[in-house]
Amino acid sequence: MHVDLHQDVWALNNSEGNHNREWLDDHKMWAVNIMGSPGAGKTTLLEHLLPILRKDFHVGVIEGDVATSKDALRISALGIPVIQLETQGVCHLDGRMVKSGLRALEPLHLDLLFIENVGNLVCPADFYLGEHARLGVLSTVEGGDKIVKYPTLFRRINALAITKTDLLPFTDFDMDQASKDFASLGAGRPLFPLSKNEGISDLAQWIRNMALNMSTTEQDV
Amino acid sequence: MHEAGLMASVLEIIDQSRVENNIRRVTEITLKVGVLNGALPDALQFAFDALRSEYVWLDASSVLRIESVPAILLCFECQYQGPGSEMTCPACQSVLTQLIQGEEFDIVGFDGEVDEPSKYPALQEPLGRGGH
Ligand SMILES: [Zn+2]
Repeated sequence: MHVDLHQDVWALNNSEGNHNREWLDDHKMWAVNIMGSPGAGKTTLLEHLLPILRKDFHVGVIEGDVATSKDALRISALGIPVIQLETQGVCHLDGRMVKSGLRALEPLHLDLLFIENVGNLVCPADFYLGEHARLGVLSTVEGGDKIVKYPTLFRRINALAITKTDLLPFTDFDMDQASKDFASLGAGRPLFPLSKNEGISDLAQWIRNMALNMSTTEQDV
Repeated sequence: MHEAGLMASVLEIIDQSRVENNIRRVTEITLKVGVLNGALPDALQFAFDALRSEYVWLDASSVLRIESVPAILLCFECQYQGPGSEMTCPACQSVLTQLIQGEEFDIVGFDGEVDEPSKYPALQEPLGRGGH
């Protein structure tokens, strides 16, 4: 006997993501999902962004980590509420995990939420969490070929932060090429080169504008 | 990699449908996976082999068939429609494009052996329901 199913496997996770999105919108909370390799500088980036953005927003963080709580401790040291989601070896956050994080944050009445995904350039891009925007983080020391090698992630982000640009002279990273490669995967999305001292306020401004307008990006998975 | 979790979802969905269709043993499962999907065929096959012993309705001869779906890009500027894995149109270099296939992950269906009919015939539709 043959059974036709024609069922989209992603639909299961997407429906969890859709529930999260409804919850976020009901709570007037704007969420950005941060994705990039391990060591790209996602947590460091948050350590620089949070003190700026906390002036305008009640901000909180959901930290996705495979096993440790080191990143969460770095965020809570800033006095920012943080929920740690240990994925028990899983290489990405999914809709269900984030749902439990949202419930835990509910009493805090946040209006801006960062979700730091597990460090990984492949899997997180496939899982819609209910976020309003996705920010990619790529460091110059990872090499310039990452954008063309992992197009799915770089196609599905709304903005790209390129970290550690003060190390450019010591790497083979080509900023013009990276910017061309990124644009070839989707037009009109901003790219923020970040060094120790520069670029962070532009990125903070982009996030502020998006959050204040409650800009929504269509889920594209 | 997340293929193990995805494969587990696939098998859960099939298990449910298998019960509904009175299927005792599943002989073949067909998936359609786009080349730009994050799920890799080899890893899916590996996950299937690792998980098959957990389901009594699968055995060593049950087959996982994966149909690969090529990426097709549509260009809004020049109407190009054809192969392309990046978002830039290979014909006119425009970035006003959209992927129209290549990212899917669908369970197409499955084949199986139906349970032997029971010695005791199933009850007829209860009286008093429906029309005439
Ligand atoms: Zn074209």
